[in-house]
Parts: sequence; C-alpha cells; structure tokens
Amino acid sequence: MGFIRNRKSLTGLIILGFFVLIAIIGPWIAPYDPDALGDATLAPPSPEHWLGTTQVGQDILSQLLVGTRGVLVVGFVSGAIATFLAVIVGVTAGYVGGLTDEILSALANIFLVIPALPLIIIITSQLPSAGEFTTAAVISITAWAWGSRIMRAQTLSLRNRDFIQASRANGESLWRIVTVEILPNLTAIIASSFVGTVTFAILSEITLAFIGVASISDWNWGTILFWAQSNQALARGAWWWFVPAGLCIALVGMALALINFGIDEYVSPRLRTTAARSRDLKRLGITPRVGFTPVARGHLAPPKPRRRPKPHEPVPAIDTSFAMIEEEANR
Amino acid sequence: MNDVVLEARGLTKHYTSGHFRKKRIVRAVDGVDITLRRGEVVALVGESGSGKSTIARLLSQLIPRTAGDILLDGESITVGYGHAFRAYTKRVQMIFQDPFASLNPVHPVRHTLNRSVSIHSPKLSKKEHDAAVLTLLERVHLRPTERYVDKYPHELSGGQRQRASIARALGASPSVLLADEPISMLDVSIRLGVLNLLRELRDELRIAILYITHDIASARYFADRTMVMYAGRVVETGDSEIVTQHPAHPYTNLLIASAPDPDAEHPEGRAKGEPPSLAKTPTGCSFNPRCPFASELCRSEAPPLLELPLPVSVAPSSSVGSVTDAAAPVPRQAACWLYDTTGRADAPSAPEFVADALGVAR
Repeated sequence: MGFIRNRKSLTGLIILGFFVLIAIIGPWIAPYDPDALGDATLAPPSPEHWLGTTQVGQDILSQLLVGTRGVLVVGFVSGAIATFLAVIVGVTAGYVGGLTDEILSALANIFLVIPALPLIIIITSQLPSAGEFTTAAVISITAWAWGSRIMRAQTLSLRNRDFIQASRANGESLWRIVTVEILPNLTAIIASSFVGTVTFAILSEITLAFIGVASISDWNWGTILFWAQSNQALARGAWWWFVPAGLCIALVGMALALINFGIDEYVSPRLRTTAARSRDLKRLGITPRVGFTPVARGHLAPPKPRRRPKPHEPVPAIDTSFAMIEEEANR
Repeated sequence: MNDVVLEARGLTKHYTSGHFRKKRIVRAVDGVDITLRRGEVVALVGESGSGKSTIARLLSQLIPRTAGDILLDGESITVGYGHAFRAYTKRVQMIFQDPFASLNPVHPVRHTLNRSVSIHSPKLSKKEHDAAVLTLLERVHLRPTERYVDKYPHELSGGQRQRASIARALGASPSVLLADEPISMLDVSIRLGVLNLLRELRDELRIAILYITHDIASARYFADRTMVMYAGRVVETGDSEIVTQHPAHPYTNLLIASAPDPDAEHPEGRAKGEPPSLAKTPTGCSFNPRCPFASELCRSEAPPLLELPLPVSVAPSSSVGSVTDAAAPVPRQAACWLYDTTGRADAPSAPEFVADALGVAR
C-alpha cells in the first residue's frame, strides 16, 4: 500500500507504534510504583532512577511509563467518538439536505463557536469524578463539529456527482448509496479528521491535567507537568522533571502530524507525485525547486523503475519515470 | 398503435430562484408531450439550456415534476422513494452524459454491474448472477468480458466506460432507456460505435429509447422521430428525415444552418442572437426576438403545435431499419404561426420558406 511506503507516514506510524506499545506494557515494565515515595529526593538521572526523581522521591520514568496509557486511551477514544459523530451528522446533513441540513449545520456551528477548553473545564469540574472516560466524552462532544462541516461539504459535492445520481436512477437504496457509494469516497477525509481530533484530544487532556482540573490521582504526562510546575522545578533547575514529558507530547504530536501529511499525500495525486518526483530528482542529482517544472527530454534512457505497478493499484496521474530531466521555468 | 411504453403529457418543471420580492420562476420545461414506443428511438434536439436533460431527469423521476403527467403502460405514475421507485427504475433506466463521472471511481466494473443485477433480479443464484454480469458485458461488446469485469473506471477509456454504464442500465432489463447526450463526451471516432450499440438494443431488445442530443445530424442518423426543443418547449416534431431535411420551424432551420458547411453560400446565417433567459421568456413565441419572420402575432401570442401536411416530395417514414408501422405515418407538427390556417390578419408570412418546408413545387 502506497500509504505505508510513504516515508512521512511510515515515520509517524513507527513513533506512534512505540508509544502504543508503551501504553500497553508501561505499567508492567515500570521499575517503581509511580506513587511510592523514595529516599532520593529531587535527584538527577542516575542508574537507579534513569530519569531522576521528584521532590518527594517518586520515580519519574515510572510516572511517564504508567501515564502513557491514559494519554493514548483518552486521545483515541475521544478521536473515535468525535469522528463517529462528525460522520453521522455531516453525511446526514450533506445528503439529506433541506431542513435537516439547516438544523444539523446550526448545531455544528454552535458547537464550533463554543470555546472548547473553558467548556471542558466547567463540565469536568462539575462532575464528581473526572476519570479518563469522562474526560474523553467531554472532549469528543466539543471536537466533532469541525469534522462534521468537512464531511457535510464533501458529501454535498459527492451527492450531485453523476455516479451517485446514476446509482439512484438504477434503483439503489438510500442506505446503500450512503454506505457503499459515498463513504468509501470519504475514507481519506475521515482518517485525516480522526488523526486531527486525536491530536486535539491529547493536547486538551494534557492541558486539563496540567492546570489541575482533571483528577490528579490518575497519572498522565499532564499530571507530571502539573507537579513539576507547582513545585517550581524550572526555578530549581530540575530539568529531568518536565523535559521528558514535554518531549513525549511533542513526539506523539509530531507522529500524528506526519501520519496526516502521509494521508494528504496519499489522497492528493498531485502531492503524491510531487514527493515521489523529488526523490527521483535527488537520485539524479537535481535539487527540486518550488515553482519550476522538470521537463522530460526523450533522448536518454529512462532510469529503471523501482517496481512495477500491480494491476489493481491506481496508476499515478503523472508518470514518474523520467528521461533526461531539465529544469525549466514554469511561470 | 398500442406499443406505447412511456408517455408524458404537459410535462412541466419550474424552478424558483431567489427569495421574497426577488423571487423568479425559471421555466426549465413547459408543457412538453412525449410518447416513447417499443422499439423506437425518439431524438430530443436542442441547444444547451433548452430543457433536454431536465426532461430526462423528469422521466426517470429523479426530480419531481411541477405539473403534467407521466404514464407508464398507459397508467399515470408518480414515485418518490423506496419500493415504488425501485419498481419504476426496473422499467425506465437512464444513461448519463459524462462517462468519466457516472461510474464510482472506488469500485470496479464488477461491483457496479453486481449491484444492478442484484437490485433488479434479487432471486438469482450465485452462479446465475455471475453469468448475468458477464452477459451484460457481452451485450455491450466489452469482450473478452473477463478482462473488463475487474477493471476500475480509471483503467477504461471513455467509450468503454459509456458501454459499462449502458451495461448497468441494461442490468434492469428496462423497457425504456433515457440516453442523456450519451455520445457528446466521447471521442468523435468512437461515437458511431456507441450509437450502433444503442440501435442494436432497439432492434434486438425492442427497447424504447429517448436520445437526447444537440447534434441534429446524429438524430437524423439514429432516431426514428425527432423533437426539437427551444426554451423549454417543443417547437417541432416529426419523422427524423423530414424534420432534418425539410425543417418547418424557423428555429430548426437555424439549428441545421448552424452546422458548419464547407460549401455554404450564405455563411452569415439567417437568424442571430441568444436563446432567452428561462426566467424571463419573451411574451408570445419564445423564438420571436431571433426569428426573421416574426410578426405582431408572434410577439403577443404563443403558437400551439400545429398539424402540418407531410412534404409531397418525401415518402413517409423512410428511416433505415425503422420498425415503426409504415402504414401510420409519423404526424408532423410545428409550433409556428407560419402554418396557421385560420387566416389571421397579423400572422407572419414567408411563402418561400413555407413552400420549402412543405416540399411544394413552386
């Protein structure tokens, strides 16, 4: 599959896969109980405590390992719920149209202008116990609106395409038109919307923990940052307390962004061929430049194609095997 | 003749645009009568925006009509959604204009045909079902069928795609095929192949075909009867050969004269101008601002479809391969005051043009 071969999405998937693994096995491989107090207080990294300790002697590596699960569970659960809501609301609004569309669009617009974080803070602080799933639910009901607008727009455009009209004229049922004819055309948008929502949910959850709204008895990366902040780790030079957690957040965010780039390139043949082409060009010793189009000159043998396209695979819109290439001004 | 399958009477579609004070009514189709008979091709000719495609969508009941009646086998029928609509599509199928847009890009041809067969013959066994799919491809000459059945639309050429979408329509074994400009998006070199395929379906399966086109020459080649549309109304109908060779309506004449002719003596043409906006059609005959013969009557009163005598020089129903009964000549009608026989004083007069149209020796 082209998506896996894409270097950006591959990198993203590897990083994300690493964190998923940690999320699964983290609590078992953690060397200490993350809550257990120790004798070494605010100790820098050492063979006993690889990432040092807090001011009450808790092992930071164990906190990170245990906390990964909460971060990813909340991220993926709220990503899944929000994407599901977005697809249901967006596709219904786009396909049915009329008054239904007006009502659902108004609903999405209301959720869009509600400032998400304050609302999450209010709801979570009112609930008796703000556990992981409560947080996930609250994040997902504020995060679906944007995706639903994209789904609606795309469905609206698909609905009037000839192939949907042809399916209707052939007597296809409404349910099948939506699930078999329209949804496969939305796969990439749904995937990218899901990945975007996961990013948003992870950042929201960490923010909630960091400002101390979510319950601080559950460990996640935000909780670590919350304790580091409240004990003035920065002022005391205890970099090991907040840098690893921050790095983990940045890495997961980067992995998700890379996956999204990969999806974009996979979906848009234009971006896909541009990326593939720049690799081919670099192999021929030419630096690709924006705004210039390489032009094929047919008097030299083309480089050997890396692989033959399989019969079922969509053929890229532009042939990437070149003859002699020269750069020429495009505009 | 009781071969009539689908009939439309006074078919009308109005769209409203704008709100409140600026509200306007767009008369896309206005009181059109169409009769489709088994084993007969009717061509609907007209320029862009004359309401041809709207008629196809009205007849396939993809959009609801504003007024008028559609009769299937002589019975008035209106279907919305669900089973009634599905039963209707089993009888009336449609072919779309753009073969590049009318097949779902994410599914192979097999899926498209599978669906058509399972919708319309749900009781087939797996084996019969697969055989039916291959027979459809065979029917539209996509041979060898095994090679085409697993192709994705982007792997097929325009002509092959159009054949695949004809195969989908045939999956219902319909009595009526509404072909909305089936060849206008195809390469000139493969148009004839698709037309011949449709003609074959007419002759072998005795399907009634409505052939919508803006190319009056292909109507002459392919259709038994031709109807000419202008601004949502039918202005002339009759045997294809007679309509194209002896146009009675000044608009038909203009349409034929607009075809490039290397030997043309008067390249400037006789009528000029643009078709009217359907939201603001002129009073009287909608062609009057462009008509060289228009008189006061044309500007005040819309002409009805008037019965015309057949041209004396032309034998009736001369279309090759036609299966219509030669004993009952196709009636010839034109909506033009030139042929008014009541002798109104303000009627237009163009004796030469009329004599030409009626084939009377001068």
